[in-house]
Amino acid sequence: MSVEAHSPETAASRWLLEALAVFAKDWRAELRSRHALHTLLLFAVTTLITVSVALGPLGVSSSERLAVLPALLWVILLFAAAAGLPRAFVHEEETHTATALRLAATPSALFAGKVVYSASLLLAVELLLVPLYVAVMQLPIVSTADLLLALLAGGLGLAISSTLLAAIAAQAQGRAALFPILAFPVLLPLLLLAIELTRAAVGGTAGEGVLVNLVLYDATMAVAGLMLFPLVWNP
Amino acid sequence: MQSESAPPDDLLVVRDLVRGFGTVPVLAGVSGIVRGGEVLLVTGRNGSGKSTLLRCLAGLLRPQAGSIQLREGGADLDGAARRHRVGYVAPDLAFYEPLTAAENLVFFCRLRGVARERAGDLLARLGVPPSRPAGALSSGMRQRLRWAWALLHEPRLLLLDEPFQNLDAAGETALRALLDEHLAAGGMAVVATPAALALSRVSAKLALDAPAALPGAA
Amino acid sequence: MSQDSPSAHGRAGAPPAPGGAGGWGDRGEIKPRGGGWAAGGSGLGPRGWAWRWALWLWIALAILGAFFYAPLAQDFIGQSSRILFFHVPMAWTSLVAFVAAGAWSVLYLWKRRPDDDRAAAAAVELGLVLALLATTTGAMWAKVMWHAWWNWDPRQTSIVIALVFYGAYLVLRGGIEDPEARARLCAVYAVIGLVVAPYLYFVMPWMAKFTLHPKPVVNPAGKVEMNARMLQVLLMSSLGFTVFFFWVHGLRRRLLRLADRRAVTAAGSAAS
Repeated sequence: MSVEAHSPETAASRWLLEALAVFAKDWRAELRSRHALHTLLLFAVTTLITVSVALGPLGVSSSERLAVLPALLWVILLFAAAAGLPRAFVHEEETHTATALRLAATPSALFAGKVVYSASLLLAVELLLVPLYVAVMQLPIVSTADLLLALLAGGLGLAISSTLLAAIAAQAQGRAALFPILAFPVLLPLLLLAIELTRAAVGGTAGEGVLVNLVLYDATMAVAGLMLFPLVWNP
Repeated sequence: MQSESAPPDDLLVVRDLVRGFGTVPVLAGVSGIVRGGEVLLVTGRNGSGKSTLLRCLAGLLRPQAGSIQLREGGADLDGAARRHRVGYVAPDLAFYEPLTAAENLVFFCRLRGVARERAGDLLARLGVPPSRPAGALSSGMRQRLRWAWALLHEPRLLLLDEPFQNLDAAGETALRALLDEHLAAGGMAVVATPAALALSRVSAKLALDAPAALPGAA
Repeated sequence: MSQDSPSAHGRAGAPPAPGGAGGWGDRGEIKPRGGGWAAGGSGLGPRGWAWRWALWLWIALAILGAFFYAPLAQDFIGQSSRILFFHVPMAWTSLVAFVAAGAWSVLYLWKRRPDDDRAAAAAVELGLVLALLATTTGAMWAKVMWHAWWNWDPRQTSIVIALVFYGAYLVLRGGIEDPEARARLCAVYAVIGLVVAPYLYFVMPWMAKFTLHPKPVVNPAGKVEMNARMLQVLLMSSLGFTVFFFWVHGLRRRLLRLADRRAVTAAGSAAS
């Protein structure tokens, strides 16, 4: 960066502008094709219907509701994320746009832009899916704040980890198929914590530490991603 | 050459570059040098490693051995800075198909910290329709767009892999004029081509067809 | 990317010299004899016969100690407590292997030496074998003590996730052809493993307190420390397994190095 100080802007604001440019570019391309949004949403709704039909018209008995329903919600979100989020990098490699991006973008800014894009995509899906899930499954919400926190922190963590692992999977053979294999062991602690917090939101008990650990996971993966992504991205 | 008292401001030196893929050796000790205003012409048939060499120079591939030194304005660039400074034109370069040509270039202007007017100027000069989606451009127009993209940040070193492919006569004339301007202003260029290519200011030729580097050549 | 001064450079057009120095098929890396981890010669060197026989003797003593020296633990069914002298060292050594793989991966990303990548890969392979053995012996013991092969005890969960993670590591290795990209991406994945490991080893067992299912049996680790003779055998066995791991690891690493060299030599001779 030292060599190409074109403008009087500071390095930090240039970094932010780059991340913002990536975010805006991805959304602009997405809104033209709607491919990722449709994939994620249809995947989530299809899984929701499958789960709902499989459980039958009576749903889950009230005694088991706390144990089963939060877990199922996050399994649906995980599947939707695995179907849609790897595209962030797989598409760049498949269509050979990654080369131009490699030669122009600051890697950490690119990573940040992709994370924010993936997170916004996932939160948009959550926004549509979760009310539907709550209604169909007759899930009693005890603490809306806990639910929102779980969805926000869990969705952000999913986006961060998925973006980093998608960048790895995108450079291997069988890109999209490899992603879930790489991602699930890394995402498991996040999912367990998010399920635990969601349980608290629907009347279960969860320790204070669950939210702290969830936020800690997000922060750890964000720092690890910013440090490791340049090594993944550049030879 | 070893005892130059005043090193030139712009210089590209490649020494003993080695790079293979898996077990197949592609580049086995390639060396070369380019100074400001000069062209290094890399020739060789398909599979001789021309593109691999250019990808190494652009920082898109890590060589297994050897060194690449790029000097701009009297200062040596490290690998990451070199990646962002070179202007790279190659057949594997592609842009976002749902976005228009202008949107593509403006995006890269924002990444590179260049004024967005530069995108419009280059597109107009090369005759690329700015509001057509990149996916709907003809192959000749795509090649012009690659050139416009490569020149956005006014690089000192152009890495051109088959630079005039798919172009009509008018397009080739326009791009040759751009290359001549670049060289006249003291820029450097490495041009890779499988066929004979008449270029001015070629200071050196690098033939990659030596039999030892070609697997399967009897 | 190495940068050096333009002290000695030729004009363009130098003919490519086959078999350049350094890199993935480096011909100068292999030392068949002499010092260092990879040597195989004289008796008292780090790879010598005396050292190897001492290891075999040590492990034999640990096995004998496990069956004849150490007493049976209380509250354990039958002779089942004796499996701990093998189960715990294997689990411990697999942990050592995975941490070592992470360390070699960090080293690779820093120095970019192909040998560090091979070392990381060899450590993951061996760690997976050891973790599989630890899981199997653990399940056998659980069948005797808890009357179930499997019941998602936090430690069982952790080791299964480790198995899945490092299994994915090997799948990733198989999915990338270019050695440079393979080494780099696999190293990053191994480092991600190190980052996630605290959540698997600390947070998930801690979370088990909050699950709706109470743990059926207390963790066996607490009972091992009760008897001094048991502890002696356990430590002896653990040390033996750890040294055994590093010995086999050195062999595996040499084998990977030789395979890389042979592949490059074969491709080189096919080329000329």
